[in-house]
Amino acid sequence: MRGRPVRTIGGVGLTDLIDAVDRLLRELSGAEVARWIAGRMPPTPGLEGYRLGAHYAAAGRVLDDAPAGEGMDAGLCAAMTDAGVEQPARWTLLDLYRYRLLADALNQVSPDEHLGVVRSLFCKGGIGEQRSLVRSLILLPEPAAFLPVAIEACRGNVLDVFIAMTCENRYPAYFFPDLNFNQMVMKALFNGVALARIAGLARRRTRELARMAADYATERRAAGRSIPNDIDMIIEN
Amino acid sequence: MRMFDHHIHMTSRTTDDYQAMAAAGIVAIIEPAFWVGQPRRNVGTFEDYFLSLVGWERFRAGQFGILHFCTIGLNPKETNSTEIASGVMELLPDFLEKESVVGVGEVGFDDQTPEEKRFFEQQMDLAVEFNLPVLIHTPHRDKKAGTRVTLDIVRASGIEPQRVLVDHNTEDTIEMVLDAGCWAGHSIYPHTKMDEPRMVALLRKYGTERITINSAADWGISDPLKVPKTAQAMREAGFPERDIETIVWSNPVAFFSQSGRLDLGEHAGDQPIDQRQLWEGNSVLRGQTPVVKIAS
Repeated sequence: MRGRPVRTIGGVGLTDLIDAVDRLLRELSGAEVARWIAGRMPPTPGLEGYRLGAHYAAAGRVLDDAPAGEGMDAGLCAAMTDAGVEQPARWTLLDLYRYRLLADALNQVSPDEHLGVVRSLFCKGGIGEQRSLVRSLILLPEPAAFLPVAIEACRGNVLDVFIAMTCENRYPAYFFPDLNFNQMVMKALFNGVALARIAGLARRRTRELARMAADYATERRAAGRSIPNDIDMIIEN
Repeated sequence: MRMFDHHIHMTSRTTDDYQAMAAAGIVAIIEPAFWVGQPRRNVGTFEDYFLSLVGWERFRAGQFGILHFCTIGLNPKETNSTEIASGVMELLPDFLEKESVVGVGEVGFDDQTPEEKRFFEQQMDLAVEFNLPVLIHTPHRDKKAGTRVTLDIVRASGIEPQRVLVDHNTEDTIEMVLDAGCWAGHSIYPHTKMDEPRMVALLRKYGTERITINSAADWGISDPLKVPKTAQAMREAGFPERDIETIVWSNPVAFFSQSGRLDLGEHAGDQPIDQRQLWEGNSVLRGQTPVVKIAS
């Protein structure tokens, strides 16, 4: 593993972040949505009998799913960026709510149960749920624990989910082993995802990645196909 | 003319079908959870199937510019595997919360056994609890009697009849379904169920109110273009364009809009297509040039 997050979200930091998300949800959603949210918060302590997956899914029909953009609070943006989210304004209120719900739920169980809760949400999630989930991994307590889910998210191919894991998200750069990081970058190339969107790519450039990209360029050339311009970002000149 | 096939099992169909459907004007579909042709032996198989209906198949349809929704339910035939059926019932509440799920279905009768009746009733209760419309399959054998009992169960469930679409109707069942206040669906098939000329005759007799058509295309001999073909048959029979649109678009949209979840977007007829996307490392393309038509 290469590099560490500049700041691990945990303890007081996590509480502050959740408070800021709560404030924003209150400000930007109507009273009806606020009531809906209040009725679905996890009980304390533990998650026994709590239908986290159902609430996580149902939010998709209630919370706004357009990028929050300028509606985002500057303090919250700064905290998210600090933790590893680039361009937090791309997040939607739905993403923020789902993050808040999950962080609160994880708070109710012991850390050794965290991966199980997150994996279950991922495995049983529809496209939108998986997107929200992988975006939020970096803001959870001890994000490194969720590496298996993050790697799995890059194996899937609904582009929404792959992009949420790969783009404007420093999780892969912080936590992915070289093999998985390189495969992710190559897959971004295959899918026409702009390499400039891969957070922390410059820091993770290696000879091996450059070789893979150069081989790919050779293969494309042999087939008479075009080569993505941004491949230069990883091929050593 | 934009069209909506509200009952088609795309999991069993090819990309050629998607391509032909899009070219024929189909812009939205509903894939009801159903019997996949052989009995499933594990609850987990159902879970993966439901997941594909809210994930992979949606994505696959999107590559051809087709909006994909689904209904979730335990089909009648497999309610008879009672041990598995109980496990599937436990899965349903979580799936009924998913965004692209616009109804409960398909539920109803196959052999008309006591088990089928029990799980049918339980799923009617779920529809009421989750405030979702219901798509009901009517049996192939002993259809008329089965439809009559179906309507009794609908009445007893307390659901509003206009939130129920009873499907696979024939000349023998349409009247009792409409009289009960439910919607009457018709599956246009090459050899069985209903065909285009008979459907045109039914529309002449009963009008267009609360009547829908679909292809119900699946793994058997069936035709995913039956909705556009029936539209053409209506046209040739002299129906005005407005009536055709009612049947192939407005009616199914109106029925499933009762879910509050049928998000057809602002440009239902002009969905972005991007075949460059892949799934699990596999493109649906095999060497041909990807179609990319992204709305600006």
